[in-house]
Amino acid sequence: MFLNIWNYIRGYVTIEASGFSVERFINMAAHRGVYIWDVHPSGAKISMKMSVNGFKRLKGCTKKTKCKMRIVKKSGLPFLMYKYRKRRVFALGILLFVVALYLLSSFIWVVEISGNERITTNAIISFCEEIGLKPGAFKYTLDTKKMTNEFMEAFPDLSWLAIEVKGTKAKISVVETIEAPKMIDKTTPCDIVASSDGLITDIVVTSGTTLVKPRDVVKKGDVLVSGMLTIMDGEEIKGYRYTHAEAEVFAKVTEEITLTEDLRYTRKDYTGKTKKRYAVSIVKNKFNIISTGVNYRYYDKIIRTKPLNLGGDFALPVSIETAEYKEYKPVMIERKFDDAKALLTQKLDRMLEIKLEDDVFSISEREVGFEEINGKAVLNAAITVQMRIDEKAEPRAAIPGQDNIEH
Amino acid sequence: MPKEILLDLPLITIVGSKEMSIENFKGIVEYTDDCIRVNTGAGVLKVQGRKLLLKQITSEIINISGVIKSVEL
Repeated sequence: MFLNIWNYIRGYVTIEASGFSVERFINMAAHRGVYIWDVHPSGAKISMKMSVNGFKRLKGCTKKTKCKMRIVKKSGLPFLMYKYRKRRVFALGILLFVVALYLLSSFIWVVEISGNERITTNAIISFCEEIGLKPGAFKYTLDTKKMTNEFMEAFPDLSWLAIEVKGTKAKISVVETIEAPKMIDKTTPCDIVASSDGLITDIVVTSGTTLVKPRDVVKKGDVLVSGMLTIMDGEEIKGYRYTHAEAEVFAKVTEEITLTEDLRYTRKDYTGKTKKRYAVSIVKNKFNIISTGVNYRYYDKIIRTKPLNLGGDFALPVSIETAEYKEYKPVMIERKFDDAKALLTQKLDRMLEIKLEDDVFSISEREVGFEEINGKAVLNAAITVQMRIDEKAEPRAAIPGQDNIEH
Repeated sequence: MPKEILLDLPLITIVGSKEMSIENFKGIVEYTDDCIRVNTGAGVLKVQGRKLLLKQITSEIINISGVIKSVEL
């Protein structure tokens, strides 16, 4: 196979030899060192292939062996070049294309970051831009080792970083350190206060002096567990010591939620007529493809951007933006009160679902009332939840026994 | 030194019944579709078969391909 390529590059001819003793002709060719291949007889003639130089050398043989040589086909690069010898600019164009392609793919056009969870992608990207790893950077002048070191210095949360340049894409893979457990400062004195009003149901105290018990009603900010310990000497109070109070206090908290929904609203009725306008952006410059304007009075504009790439990792700094204009007619709709009620109830349910996920342990009561005010449907709900209301705060000198908490 | 060079004898290599190569020959006597005769230091070698083609020929080696029926020395 490689022999064929080599022969093609050098150029070869296919000839037909006919005459009295073609065998002697072949013998002479072989003895003169001419390489012949693909010999097969076709009737009285024999066709064969030989190199161009060989052909020239054999011109003299025909006379000796009384054979006639006829060129059937000329193939090879030299013949091709001779045929297109007038089309020099074309050849130049091909060369320029190859050079341009190579040049363009020597820059980085896309930076991709993977593996980061705590560190934001934006933080990494802006650091990349600072050190020079951004679209448009020349691939061969980048020192990835130095950049890796700079990264590790700037982000102490990283345990491993790798920068890989593949095609025109720079892939940054990141592995973060395992987060150290949050150290609770056990030395700073503090109190536990209520984060909202409520009725206490359970208290679990790890350290500190409890000032409340279950069935107490507390207000937001009341001290529930004090970090102040009184040191007794027999019956006398010797002094006070401030500690870091820790406790979990569960209480029933009532929250009021109000939701409104308009009874009259405008609905978008899409007429089905759409128009598309295209724009091409090359390295952040946008060129609109000229066409007639959009003459809808009311419309939704949806813009989709698609970057072009030469397959896989070779992203180009060119992207096509498709803006789709969808016409609609605004229609005033009057919603029935019952429908509005159903919608509001749905909204409420969703809100409560989220709350349950966060912090709250159970919903014990739920009271819902509806009214119509000024053309809007209003939902008033009082939700009683059981949740933790403990919060750490600066210590206050609350003397046990004297407080304003209802028992 | 190999025997065929010392004694000027041809080295014939046959692969199955489809390919044959003859090294160290003197010349071609006859070449047709079904009979090729090659002159060697050991006499005229006759190869008979069908659709015989000369794949390559140089001054040292000749490659024959096709359906080879018999080889006579």
